[in-house]
Amino acid sequence: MNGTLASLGRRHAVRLFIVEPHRLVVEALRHVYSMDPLFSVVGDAPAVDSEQIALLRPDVIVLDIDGLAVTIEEAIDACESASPQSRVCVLSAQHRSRTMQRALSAKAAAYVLKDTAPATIIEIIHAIVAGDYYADPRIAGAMLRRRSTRSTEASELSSREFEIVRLIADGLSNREIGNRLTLSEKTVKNHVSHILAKLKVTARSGIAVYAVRNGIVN
Amino acid sequence: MRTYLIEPQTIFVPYLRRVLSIAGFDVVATSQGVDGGDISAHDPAAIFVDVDYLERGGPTALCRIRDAARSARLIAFSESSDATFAATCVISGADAVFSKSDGEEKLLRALRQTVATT
Repeated sequence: MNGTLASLGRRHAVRLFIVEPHRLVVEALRHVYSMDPLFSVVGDAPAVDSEQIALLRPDVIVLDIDGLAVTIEEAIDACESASPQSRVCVLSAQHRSRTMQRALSAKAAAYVLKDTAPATIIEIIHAIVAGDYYADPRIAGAMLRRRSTRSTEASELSSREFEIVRLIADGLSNREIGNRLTLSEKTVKNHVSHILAKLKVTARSGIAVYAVRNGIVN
Repeated sequence: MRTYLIEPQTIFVPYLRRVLSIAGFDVVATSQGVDGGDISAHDPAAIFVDVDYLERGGPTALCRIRDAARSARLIAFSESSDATFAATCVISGADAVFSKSDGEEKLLRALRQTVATT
């Protein structure tokens, strides 16, 4: 036993609480956590159970956000209110950057995908107990690549073209954009042609999609 | 019984291997998606597939699996407890459909029954 603990370095015992609506998934998660002798699952519930969480005060709340009856923010907030010192590890099958951003903005300590290897999940739990944060590297990587692509293409846009991109994404016609910016419709049309070439898209709708995907507009 | 396990969510694989083993299924291969060639190559007697989160949806995947392994027992596993969804799975080729909302005991009982009737 001492040898096991010594080989685990300065890691500490971790008390976990699982929020998961599907009974068999709870069993599967318990099975994964049983692989680490330092982990103990102190409770589980099909939805955020503030009373139980407040009573048990676990080190980590594993929160499955797929199929939640409330928003991600509400669920994380309820966990935090019930046990402020607990860290929330969000578990999801959603490979979406927006979902990950929402979870981490709502103060989750980790966003873990369900296709993550069990051994990695154990490492992540230890890391967040030690005060670290975790964002799935595949989603984070895709976000950075998109940002990098945006900076290359968007940096070629003039400030006037940038403004026109925003207005196109808002659904304005060339005439309406001209009225808004005090430009002739023909001048706006020329700007749109340049924007299409710089963003390497062929249609006006492509400009709008680019603007939304790259956060130029909400 | 030689079994091929399809589970896109890696986190569940160790648990499912254990439960299947207890019920008498010998998992000879696991995969995160439907690969007809790989399924045929392993020639399994049973295929256990988690139909949630599969590309192109569970019923379509079941049709593809059935094409790849015509005589294998095809067991679907889903978060859904909806009878219509279960019926769609059966029409698409599943021999049995289990819900993740059921407990381990119920799953084990059903799996053992599947082995016994094969």
